[in-house]
Amino acid sequence: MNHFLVPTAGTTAGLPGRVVFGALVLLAVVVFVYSMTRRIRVLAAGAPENRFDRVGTRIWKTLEYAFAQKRMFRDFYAGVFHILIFAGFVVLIVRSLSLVVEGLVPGFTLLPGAAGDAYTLVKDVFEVLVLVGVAMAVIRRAFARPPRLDLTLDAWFILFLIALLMATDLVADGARAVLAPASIPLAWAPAVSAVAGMLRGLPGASLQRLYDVCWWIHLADLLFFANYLPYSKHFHIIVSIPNIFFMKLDPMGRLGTPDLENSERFGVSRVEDLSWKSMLDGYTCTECGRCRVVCPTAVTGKPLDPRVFIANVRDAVYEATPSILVAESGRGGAEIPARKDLIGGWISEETIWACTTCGFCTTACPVFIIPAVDKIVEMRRYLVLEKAEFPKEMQTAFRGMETNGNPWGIAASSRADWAKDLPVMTMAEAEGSPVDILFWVGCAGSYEDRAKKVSRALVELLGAAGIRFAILGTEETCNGDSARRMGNEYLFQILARQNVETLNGYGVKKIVTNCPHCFNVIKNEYPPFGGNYEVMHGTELVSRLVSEGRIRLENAIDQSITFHDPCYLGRYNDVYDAPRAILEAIPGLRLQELPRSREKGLCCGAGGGRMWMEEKLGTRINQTRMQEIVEAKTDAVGVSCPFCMVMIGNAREELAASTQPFDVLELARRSMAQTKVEAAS
Amino acid sequence: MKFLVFIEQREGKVRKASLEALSLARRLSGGPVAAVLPGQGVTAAAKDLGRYGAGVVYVADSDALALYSNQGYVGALDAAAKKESPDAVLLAATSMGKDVAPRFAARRDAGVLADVMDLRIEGDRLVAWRPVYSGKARAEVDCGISTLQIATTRPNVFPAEAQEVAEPRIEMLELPPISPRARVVRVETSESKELDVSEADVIVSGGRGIKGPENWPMIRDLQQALGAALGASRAVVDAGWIDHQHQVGQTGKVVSPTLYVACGISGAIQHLAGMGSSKVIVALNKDPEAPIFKVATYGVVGDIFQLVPELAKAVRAAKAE
Repeated sequence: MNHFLVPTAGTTAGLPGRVVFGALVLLAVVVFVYSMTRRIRVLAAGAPENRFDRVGTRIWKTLEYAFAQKRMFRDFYAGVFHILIFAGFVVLIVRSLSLVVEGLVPGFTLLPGAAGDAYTLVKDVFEVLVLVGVAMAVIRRAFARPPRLDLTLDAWFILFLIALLMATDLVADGARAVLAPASIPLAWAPAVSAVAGMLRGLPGASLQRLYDVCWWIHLADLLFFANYLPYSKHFHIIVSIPNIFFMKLDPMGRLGTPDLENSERFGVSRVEDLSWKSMLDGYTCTECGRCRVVCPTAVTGKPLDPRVFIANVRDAVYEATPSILVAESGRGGAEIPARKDLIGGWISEETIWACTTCGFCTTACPVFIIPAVDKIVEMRRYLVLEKAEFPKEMQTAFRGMETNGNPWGIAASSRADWAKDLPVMTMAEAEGSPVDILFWVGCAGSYEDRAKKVSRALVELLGAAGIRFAILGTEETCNGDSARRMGNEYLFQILARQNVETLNGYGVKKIVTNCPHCFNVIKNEYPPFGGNYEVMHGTELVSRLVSEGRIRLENAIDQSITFHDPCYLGRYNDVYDAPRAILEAIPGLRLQELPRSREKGLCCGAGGGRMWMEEKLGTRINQTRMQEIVEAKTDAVGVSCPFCMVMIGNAREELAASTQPFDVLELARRSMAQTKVEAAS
Repeated sequence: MKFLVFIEQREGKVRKASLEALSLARRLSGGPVAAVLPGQGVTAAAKDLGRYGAGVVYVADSDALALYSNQGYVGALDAAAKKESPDAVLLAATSMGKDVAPRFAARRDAGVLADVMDLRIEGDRLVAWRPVYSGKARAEVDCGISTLQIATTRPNVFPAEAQEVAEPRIEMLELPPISPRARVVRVETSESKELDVSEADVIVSGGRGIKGPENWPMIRDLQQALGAALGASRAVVDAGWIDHQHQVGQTGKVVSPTLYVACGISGAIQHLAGMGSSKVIVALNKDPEAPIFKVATYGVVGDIFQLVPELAKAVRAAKAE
């Protein structure tokens, strides 16, 4: 090892190189610790949220999504260059550490002997791979320019810094290899050897100069880079891994349940009301825009763009940082800097009411930020519970749910009228004789004309299969999905408690429902209220009965059909195959997938209480979806949600489309062999 | 039973709802009754009240009463009541009547039968039917032990019957000056001349069945014949055929008029949620399966392009009689 070669061994600007370098490192560390402490102290001031449970699962998920970066490869090109750069960073941490220590302690070698040789090879290869990755990123930004990206200067700057890091290290090592071949195991360093080959022949003084300059630039770049991150969208390099570790492990369809009795403030109106994890979500966003291109409101020109939403939350947190720190330090008298309101300032009310809670942004995010849904519902809670400011048409739905247990406000006493002429018993009537399963009808299934026909179809299918079932009849009331997602948590909790009490009173264990919203709420949101049931969607139960041969689908339906996935069935609860299994089991029916189907299914526009609001901004989500359905050129479209049915049905009329919407169960009923229906229940 | 009826006017024109109350009082008492008319420049209008049953009209005509003032108007009623000593006071259940009646009742420690739909005399008591629970049930009420009995009558329920009789005696009321604690600064009328569906007692609505915005004149014709407001289903509002202010339904206006005429509206649940509590629903639709027929009081299956003009003609003919 040639000690004299380390640039800090000489003097820099008249001072001993090591002192200058040491001061630089110290400054970088101090500034970095300062920046990070501020960021972390703000998190500590956020609302509590327990994300330290289920550590084993968290570690596994971190390996799966942070290190193997499973979600990144949905965009293959981006996935490739990202993992090249990421892997390079992980590998080169050792190299960077070793260089810093070498600069302070001449002659220091972190990895001596064979380990050093092996690492030299790895480092050599990865520096080149990172450069390849950066080149791919540059090509994408300069030429492909995918619409999900905002081409910011920040991004170019970071790519430049990364490329500079790699290039300077390679050139420095190349020069060093020429000057002192023994100091580098060249057999293990093909890239450095290549650089050395190009530099050979330069005078020794020039080589020394080149080496010194590149070494200093490399180290300065490194120290600057680390300190630039906390102030850039590239903070994700530091916080993505923890953000993935602290991901939401509760079911996606379960929103937080605040204790309304003991709360003095409801929902989120200020930065301080955000949970620390919500703030960390903001830190983590690197503005990749994967959420933007899938969001049904963003693609139809509404003010909600989840990528902008989360950046606004982050910027609000950053803006509030000084005042939060002043408040937290308890320094009386210190001036609290003025700031914009979170709601109305950073985020408009129109943005908050636009969300359909379809959850596509959440599943699109590679680093498990929950861009919109949970945060937006928290903001709606504030607007509804504290300020009573919401689109006025929502009042009709709220009042209907309050007084009659359904959003339309139709008399609660007529809830079971749809079943009057059907062999359906209520739990009250079945008292004493056991039933296999409770059929949860839902508001639409009870009152809405088309959905009533679907309820009837399910009754006949269950009857044919010899299933003993019962309904709650007039004891059933709205499950509360719309109330909760429109921010009326108080109303939701009343409805949830009432339903859980009724269900537990009858000792219900198994529930089938054909409404994905009822399905999600009962399955995922009732457990915190003491309601634990095995909940099946109508298509799950019927597809099982079909596969068991208890329902025989024999009548041919000679049609081509496509299928529209309901968000709360598919994306939220991973039920993709059951409805398709039924469609495929019907003779004559030819299933053809939509371009956006399954995990990529586009919302109909009715979720998150949007069913009960006017859609005044941008183009209509249901028409956008219907357009795609029409372009599939099938005879029919299968749906599995009463809200989707209404939205698709309306869009069909508005676009004068010929594609007919059918509920999957209606089709199953039509195809079913007419045998045991009469003998049922 | 001696009646005194509070007469409401706007810009010198007596409101129909007050004439209904006046006619009702004459019918109940079997002869002319007393009326009180506060306002400015209203003396001319007082003369016409004879036709509807006023034997004597107490007129409070002053600049201070040009715009509604609850102290001033209640004061006029109070002064007339002192002269007349009635057993019963009737007012129309309009915004003004609903403001004046309780204030007057409080001064006299009397009971009020609010917003009544039927009124009769039993012995020396007024007995009324009034709607409760948004019209889902009716309650029979009287004024209990109070000697002075007050009732406000729901507009458009009782007929206003004109008869040829002698002009009423006019008595001018001299009211002491008051220093109002609250006064009306100005009256702003809404820009649109259109009757608002949420306030209308009769609504004629059009849906997708009208086929296109060019066919509104046909619906408008029936609407005008009935003196109704114009409603619309969500579908036609979404299609841009008419402004959102006309939309009746879940996300539009929730209405409960006495009469709702649905023309070419299928009656999706979103629409029914906005008008299902109307008292009488008339549905015109070509599809016998249309859900609107399930809530309709009267349903006609047929082509609205024939039915609506016929209906308008029949309404005009009936009104002309």
